[in-house]
Amino acid sequence: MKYNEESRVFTVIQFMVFSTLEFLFLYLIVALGFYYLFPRKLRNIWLLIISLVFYGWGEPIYLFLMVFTIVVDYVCGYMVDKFRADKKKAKTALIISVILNLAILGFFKYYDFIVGSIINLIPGVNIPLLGLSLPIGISFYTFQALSYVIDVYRGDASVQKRITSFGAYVTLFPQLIAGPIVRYKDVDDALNERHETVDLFASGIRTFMAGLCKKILFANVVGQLWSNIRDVPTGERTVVAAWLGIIFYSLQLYFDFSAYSDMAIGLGKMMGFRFLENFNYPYIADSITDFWRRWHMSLSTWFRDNVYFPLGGSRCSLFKTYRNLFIVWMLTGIWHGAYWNYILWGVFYGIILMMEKGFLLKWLEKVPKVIRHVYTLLIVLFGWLIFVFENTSEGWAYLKNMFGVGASGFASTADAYMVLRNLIFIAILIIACTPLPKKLFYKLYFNEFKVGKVWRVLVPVGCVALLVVCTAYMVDSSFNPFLYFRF
Amino acid sequence: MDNNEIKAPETTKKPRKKPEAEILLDRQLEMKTKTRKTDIAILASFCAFILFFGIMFFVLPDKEYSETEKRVLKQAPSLSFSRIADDLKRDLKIMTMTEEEKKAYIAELGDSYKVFSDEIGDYYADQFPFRDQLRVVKAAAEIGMLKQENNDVVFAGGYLIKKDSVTGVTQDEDGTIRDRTYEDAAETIKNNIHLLSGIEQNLPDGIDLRTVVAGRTIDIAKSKLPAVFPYEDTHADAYWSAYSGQVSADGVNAVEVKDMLKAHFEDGEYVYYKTDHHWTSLGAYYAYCEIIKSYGLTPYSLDDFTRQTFTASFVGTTFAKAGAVFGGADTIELFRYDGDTDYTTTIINGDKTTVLQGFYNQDKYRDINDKYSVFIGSDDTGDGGNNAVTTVTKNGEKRQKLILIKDSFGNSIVPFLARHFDLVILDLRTSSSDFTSYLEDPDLSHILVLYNMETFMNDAKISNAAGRIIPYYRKKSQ
Repeated sequence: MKYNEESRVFTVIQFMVFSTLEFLFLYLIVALGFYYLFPRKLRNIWLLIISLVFYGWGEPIYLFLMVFTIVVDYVCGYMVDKFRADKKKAKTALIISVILNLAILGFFKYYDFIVGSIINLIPGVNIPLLGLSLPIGISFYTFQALSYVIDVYRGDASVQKRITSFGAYVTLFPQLIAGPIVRYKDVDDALNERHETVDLFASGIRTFMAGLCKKILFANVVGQLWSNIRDVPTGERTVVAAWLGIIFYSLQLYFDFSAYSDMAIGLGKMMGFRFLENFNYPYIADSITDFWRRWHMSLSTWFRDNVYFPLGGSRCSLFKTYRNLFIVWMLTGIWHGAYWNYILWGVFYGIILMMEKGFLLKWLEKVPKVIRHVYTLLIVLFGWLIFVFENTSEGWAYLKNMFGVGASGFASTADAYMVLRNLIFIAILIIACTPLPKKLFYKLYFNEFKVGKVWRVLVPVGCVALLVVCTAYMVDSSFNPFLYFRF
Repeated sequence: MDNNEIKAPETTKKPRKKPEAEILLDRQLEMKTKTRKTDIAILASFCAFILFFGIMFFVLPDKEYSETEKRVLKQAPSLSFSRIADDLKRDLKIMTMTEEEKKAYIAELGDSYKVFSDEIGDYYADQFPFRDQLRVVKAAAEIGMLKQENNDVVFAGGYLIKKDSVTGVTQDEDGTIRDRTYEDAAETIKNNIHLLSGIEQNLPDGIDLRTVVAGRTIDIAKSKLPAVFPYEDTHADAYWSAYSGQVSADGVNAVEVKDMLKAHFEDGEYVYYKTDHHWTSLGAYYAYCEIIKSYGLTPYSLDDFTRQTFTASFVGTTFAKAGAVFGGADTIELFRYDGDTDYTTTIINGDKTTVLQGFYNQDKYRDINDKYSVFIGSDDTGDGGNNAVTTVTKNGEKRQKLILIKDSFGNSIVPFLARHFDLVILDLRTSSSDFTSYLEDPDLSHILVLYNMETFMNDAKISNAAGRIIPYYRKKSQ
């Protein structure tokens, strides 16, 4: 077994991933099986139980934190509703909820970052670092729990009387660990009464399968290519390898992240929920403004509704608009992680978006489409470069590498070999970044190709074929060379 | 419901622009009568698939050992309340540690550090129904995409060539554990040569020590690699220059076989298996000739042997890693000669002993995947031919004795060497028990150390040999 120091340390916080055999062939069978065996009344309770099992699978400790969050927000939501007539009291309950949630998030996610920065800035200060492992998914479920109290306060959603249903909403296993961040008002009705149908279930399978393929066949494989390039010591990397590396990382991140969202949305549909889409082909965007309407939409929406608009959005003085943009993007950056590079990344996008709002978009409208896309992709690429290196000096060295500084030459045989043997794979990935595969699929699905009676068989057969391939990749990725070479 | 003082007007005014996927879902739900049958088929096939494998996993008995992959498979982890409690306690302890403390603590726990969910994952993957077939599917998919490789094995003109052979972990001075790098491996090579030189210096007159390090497939079949291939990055040359540099620096008595076999290979001779990391019997024969010549003796010529095909459907260790074979299977030949069944091979593994007339355990290994173990293979098929101690004698005849310290490459050279010497064959990787009693034999004239480069750079256990032999002769000479 390859010894991965990092993963060893962080396996302490383990969680079940959708793209594992035990999820697909054990957990999912039990979860869905009983879900449909139980009468409607008990389904939310079952969802809560099975989601808690999912969360506590590898790391039961933080379940207590989760239960605490559920209770606090349930009570706060209840208070907000109860004191609706008395705005002051309602607001107090809302503020308590916001403060408590952000305090928990802040403590676990940012304590060490803040204290570490203070120690660095002011020498002689002696505050102990805690080294707490981050509870998995805390950024996602905190935002969800918060959105409930806020939605109730605003009257966008009605109060949830059953704590089990509310608990099911917060812990809902499909999107618990990697989003999308579901706003309470979007699932309010479905939580109380939803209609699981064959069509929705089948649609869920298709979405889940798309996610599974993206994760196993694309993200994991291209991720390996990236980590091979990343692991090369600085100074031994060529210019071409550096560029390819960051392109591979961009592909990995998109396929990985959107795969989780797809699988979550798919699983949701299997149980009668319709979550909103989280990604809408971000790499075909023709401006950064457009990109952020397509990338991790549930997060941008959350910040827009709960930070940007309350601050006044763009309907105030120019200065305030830019200030609001800046605040939102800085928070977006921090949300992604407690390291300086994430803040830098957020601010980077904040500045680009301000520029686009100010003048760039008008210019872009005049130039050919190709240039708009190249411009967008380049900005995104450099964005990911900031994003991926938590150690900013490492990122800086990599950036210099891309422009020949400290590189071991322009290209090498290793680069050529890597490109040649991955040519088809990369081509598939690029096509998969566009809506083309889905369009073709639906043409087939709606029988617009007029292929005769076969079309009914083609889709389910294709589905099983993909399942076989995905299972094969899951089975073989476990190959364990350390044990094997006994002789 | 008029409590939306902080709600901005924009949310209600602009209807949300629906992404493609949601529009398509709406459209599908509108057309559901048309697609209903397809939907039912999708639903049924998906559920049938996960149910089939999910149930088969429980129905099929767990296997202990994979024949195809030649490795022990993970078994079901036991789950008990005390284990959950212990894990929780451990994790709570780790939670309150700083990063450095965590690393140190986990390093200290070593192999006993197990996470239940990890174990379940490994167990599922290893015991998954139709695992072998699914691995072939993956290999086919990789080859179909013209990736030229699967699991770091290159498909090179019928040959399966492993790129990298560094294994294991090492601990730095500051306590961090990390994967060994090629530099560590080169260092190990040098250390091993150095240890061997130490042994050589401490041997009394009349005992000859010689070292043979055979090439790996990548060293021999380099010419089969794709035209564009980063051979440099495999560090193959670095290992060999570390080896030969140290050999000449320490003046170690080494027999060169790698370049010799490479030349034979490039002449089109079948000296290395295509699907296995070992040399063929022919390859072993050529190596034997070099060794015997270096002793000043005359090796038997090829005509002195009858080549018997043991199997023509051998798929070996590199196949096990690659998951598929596209250049056909291998043939294992046995180089027989008159009277070779008069030799007695005694295999000792702990308290289990196997006695063979001749060198081949044909009956045991004919129907087993691990066919290379036909060479001095013990009756316990799990052990294969890597026995702790094997002795070979000829009909009670008294001959000079050679101690062979070897890895599995040595197994197939035994039939040749046995024609000249009585043999004591030690596999130090299998057992670290004391073997000095064999040094007391007055007929002992040769010690031959024979490894392939892969073992030699990883875990050749030369230090065990040095640790036994050097003190033995020092004590004797006092």
